[in-house]
Amino acid sequence: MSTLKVELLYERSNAEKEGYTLPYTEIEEDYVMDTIPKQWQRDKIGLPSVTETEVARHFYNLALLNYGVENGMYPLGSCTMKYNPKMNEEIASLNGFQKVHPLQMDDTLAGNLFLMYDLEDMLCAINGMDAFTLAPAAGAHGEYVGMSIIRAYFKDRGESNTRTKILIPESAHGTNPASAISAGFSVVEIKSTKTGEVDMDSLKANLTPEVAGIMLTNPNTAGMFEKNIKEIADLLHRNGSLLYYDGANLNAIIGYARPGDMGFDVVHLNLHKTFSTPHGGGGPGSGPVGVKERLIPYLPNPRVILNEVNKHNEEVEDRLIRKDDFKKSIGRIRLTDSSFGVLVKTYAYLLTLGENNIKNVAVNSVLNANYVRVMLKDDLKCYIDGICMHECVLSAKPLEKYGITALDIAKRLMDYGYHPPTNYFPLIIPEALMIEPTETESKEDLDKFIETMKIIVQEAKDNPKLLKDAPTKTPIRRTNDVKAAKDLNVAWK
Amino acid sequence: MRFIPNTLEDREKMFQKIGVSTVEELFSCIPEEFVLKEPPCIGEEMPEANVMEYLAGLSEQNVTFSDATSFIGEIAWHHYVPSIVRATMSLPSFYTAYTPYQPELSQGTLEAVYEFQSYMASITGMDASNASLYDGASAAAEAMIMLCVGKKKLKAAISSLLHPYVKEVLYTYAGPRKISIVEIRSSEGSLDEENLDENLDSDVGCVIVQSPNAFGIIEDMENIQRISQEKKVSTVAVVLEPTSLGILKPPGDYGFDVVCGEAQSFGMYPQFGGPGLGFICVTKKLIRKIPGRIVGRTEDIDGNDCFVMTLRAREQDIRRDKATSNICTNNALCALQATVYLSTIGEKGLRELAKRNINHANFAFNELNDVQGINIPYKKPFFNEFLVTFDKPIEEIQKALMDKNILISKNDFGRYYPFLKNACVLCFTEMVSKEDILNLKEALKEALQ
Repeated sequence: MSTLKVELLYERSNAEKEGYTLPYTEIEEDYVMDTIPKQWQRDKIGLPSVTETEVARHFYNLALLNYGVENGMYPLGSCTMKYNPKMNEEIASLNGFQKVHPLQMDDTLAGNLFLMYDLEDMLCAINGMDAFTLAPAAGAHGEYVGMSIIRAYFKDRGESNTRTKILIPESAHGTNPASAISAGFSVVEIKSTKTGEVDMDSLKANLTPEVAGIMLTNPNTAGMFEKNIKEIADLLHRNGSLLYYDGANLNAIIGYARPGDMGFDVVHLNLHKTFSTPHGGGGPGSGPVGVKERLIPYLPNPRVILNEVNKHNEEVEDRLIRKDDFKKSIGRIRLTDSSFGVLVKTYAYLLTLGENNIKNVAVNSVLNANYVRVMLKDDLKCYIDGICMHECVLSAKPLEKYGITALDIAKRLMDYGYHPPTNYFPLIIPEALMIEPTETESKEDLDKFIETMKIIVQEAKDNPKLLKDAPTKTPIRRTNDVKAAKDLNVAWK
Repeated sequence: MRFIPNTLEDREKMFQKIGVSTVEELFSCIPEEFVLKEPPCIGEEMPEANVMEYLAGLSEQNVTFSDATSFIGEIAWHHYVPSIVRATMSLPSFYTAYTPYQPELSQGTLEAVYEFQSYMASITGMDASNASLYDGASAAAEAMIMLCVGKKKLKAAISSLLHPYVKEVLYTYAGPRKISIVEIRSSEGSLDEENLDENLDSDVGCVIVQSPNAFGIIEDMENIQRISQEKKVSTVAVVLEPTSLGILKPPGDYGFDVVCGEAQSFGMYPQFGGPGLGFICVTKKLIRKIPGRIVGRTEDIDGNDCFVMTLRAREQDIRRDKATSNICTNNALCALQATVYLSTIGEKGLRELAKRNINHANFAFNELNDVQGINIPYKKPFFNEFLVTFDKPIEEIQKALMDKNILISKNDFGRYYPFLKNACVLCFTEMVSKEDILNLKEALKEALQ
C-alpha cells in the first residue's frame, strides 16, 4: 500500500483550470440578471477549480490507500463482506435502468416494475414471507419500517396505547434498540445466555401484556442458532406479540431454512450483505422488509401490484402499476420508491445463483467459519463451545498476560495484508474477535489466514511490542481519535 | 458455482478437522422441522451471458431519456454525468470497501468524505456536513427529529410547498416521535409569511421550508429566516435541486440552522429514483447533534496528517437506545460520486450549469406562456422548473405527449393542492435543447386544441 501524503484538491485549485465544458445549446439569451434578484445571487461557491487529469489522479491515488474485497480477505463478523460480482455493476449501469425517472407514467416503466415484482416474489420464497417492500434504503431503515409496521398493526387493533414495549436481547446490534425507539416504542433489554441466546427465564419474566414484539437476529450476534426459536415464537404469539427478524445474519441459513417458517412475522434483509451488492465504503445499502399476510396492509406506500383493471392482459409486464394510497399503510418512507440500482444487482445475483446453488452459500459460509474456529481455538480462546454458524467468535483473553488485546491482534493483521475481523462485539464475550469468512473464501486462503493468526499469537508471546506498535506497514498508523473530537476539523477552510 | 471456491475435496478435509461428516451434521443446531425439503423457488441458475441478455431486454422495456425527451424534475433531475464519475466509483477498493472503521486501511474513503463534507458545507453556506444520509426526504425527517425531539419542542411548522412526497415522509416519521405538524399556507406560489408568523410560538421546534419549492419557485429565504429568528425558532432549508446553489445565495448566508436535502443532481442519473444522496449541513452549534457519520482530520501516532470517523459517541452502535438517530449504513458511494462530480465541474462549472438551467427554463416559460390552454399560475423567480395548469384533463395531455415521445410527470398537483386542477411541474435542465422545447410547445398546442 502507498503511504499517505494528504493533499486536497483545494490545494491545487486555480481559477483558470477547468475539468468540464457545458453541452451545446442554441438558447443564447441570458435570463439570469432579469429574473433572479441580484441580492439572491451568490458571489462564490467555494469549490476548487482543477482539470480532469488532476481529478482522476487524485482519486486513483486515494483508492490505493483503501482496502477492498479484491485486496484480500475481509473477515468482518456480522458484515458479510463477500465478493461482489462484476457483472452486477455493468447491468445496473445499463441505459435502460439509469436514464429513467421515478415520476414517469407506469406504462413507460414495464421493465423496472417487472423486476421489482419478480424480485419481491424471490425474496418471499427465500424467506418464507407473504410480501416484501423493497423501499427501505438500508438495514436500519428496514428496522425502522418493520417496527413501524408492528406499531400500525397494533394501532389498527386499538392496542396502540397498551402495546408499547419491544424486547431486545442484550447481545443485539445497536441499531435494534435505536430503531425501536425511532418507531415510538420503549425498549426492554432481556438477558442473553453465555452463547448469546435468549435467556428463557428473562424472556418469560418480561413477557407482559405491554410487549408488542421481540427483535431477534438468528443466528444471533455470537454466530449461534437460537435453538429455542419455536418455543420463543409460541410464547410471543400466545401473548399476542409479534416476532421481528434482523436479517444481518441470513447468510448462515439462506436456502437451508427460512425465518418465515420459524414464526417470524416481519423480517428485514441487507442486500449489501447477504445478496452480494457492494458496501461502497458505507452504502448505499438496501433493506427490504418482508411480512406475513396479516401485516400486508401496513407496508409503506407505494407498492408494485397487479392492476385488476387490465388483469386479462397476457403479459405480466403490462399489468403492473404502482399504488400509493393504501389506507392502512405506514405511509411513504423516502423520496423515491426504492434504491433501484441495488435491486438490479440483487436480482442479477439471484438469477446467477439459481435455486440449486443458493443453499451452497449457507453451507460454505458455515463450513468456512467452523474451519477457522477449530483451527484457532487452541491459540485463542473459544468461549462458546460447539459448532457455530457463519461466523465464529474467538477471544484474545489468553493473551492478556502479555498485555495484548483484541485490538492489537486486529492491528497486527493489517501488517500481514488482512482486513481485521470485527472486534469487541458481541459485547458479551471479552476481547472478542468475530470472524466471518463468507462462502467466497477458499480453503487455501483460509489456511493462509489461519497460519498468519498463529504467527501473530506467537509474536504476542515472544515480542508483544510488534503488536502494540502495529500497524507499521499501512499508509498511516494508529490514529489520535481524542484530538479528532476535541480539535474538531470536519471541513476544509 | 463461480463465486464459491471450495471443492468437494476441500469440504471433506474441512469436515474432518471440524469433526463432522455431513452437511446435516454441520447444521444440526437447526431443528429438523425448519430444514427446507425443497429449494426456494427462484428458478434455475443462469450463465452470465444469459443474465446479461435477459436483463438488457428487461431494461429495454422501459422508455428512457434516449427514447423520449423528459421534462420531469420534482424529486430527481437529469443532468449530464461525466464519465470520470463512474470510472472512479467503480475502482474496486472504493466500491467494495466497508464503512471506514479501520482508518489505517481506509484513508481513501475518509479523505474523499472529508472533501465531500467540505464541498457541501461550502455550497450550502454552513459550517459542517455529515458523510451522507439516505435521501432528501429522510434527511428532512432527521432534521425535524434532531430539532424537535432534541429540544423537546414537539411541534414542527412545515411549508405546505414542500414537495408532497417530502411532506408525506415527515408525517410518517413525526407520528411515532409524537411530533405534531402544522402546515404553513402558501400565497401566490410561495410561503405565506403572515401565516408563518402567526404559527410560530415557543412550542415550535423548527420551521421547514423548501427552496426552490414544490412549484419550482425560489422562496424569500431572508424574510423566512428573519420572521423565524424573531420568534427564536430554528430554521431548516430543504434543497432537492442543489444545482440551484450554483447561483442562488445559500441558506447558510441568511442564517439558517440546517440545510438538508437531496444531491442526486451531483453526479447520478435519476436511475428510477435510487440510490440518491441525502445530505445534512449544520451550524457549528448543532454539529454534535447531527445524525449519521462524520469524518474529521487528525494525526496518527507518528504525527502524520490523516482522517478518522469522529464524534462517534452520538451513534447507535455506542449509544444504542439513546442514540440521536438509528442510521448506520448511509450512501457513501453516492457521496463519492458527488465528490468526483463537484471536483470535476468545479467552481466555474457549477455556476455556468446553474445559469444554463435558468436560461433553458426561462426560454421555455416564455414559449409556453402564450399557448392557448396552458396557464402559468405564478410568475415569480424560479430555477429550472415551474408549475403549469392545462385546460384539459391531464391524463389526456400525458398520453398525447407520450405519443410524441415526450415524458411529463405522472403527478397531477391537483391531487395534492385543492386549489389546483390538471397541474404539473415541468423541468428544463441543460439536457433539453431549444428544439426539444419547441417540440413540447407544438405537442401541447396540438393536445390542447
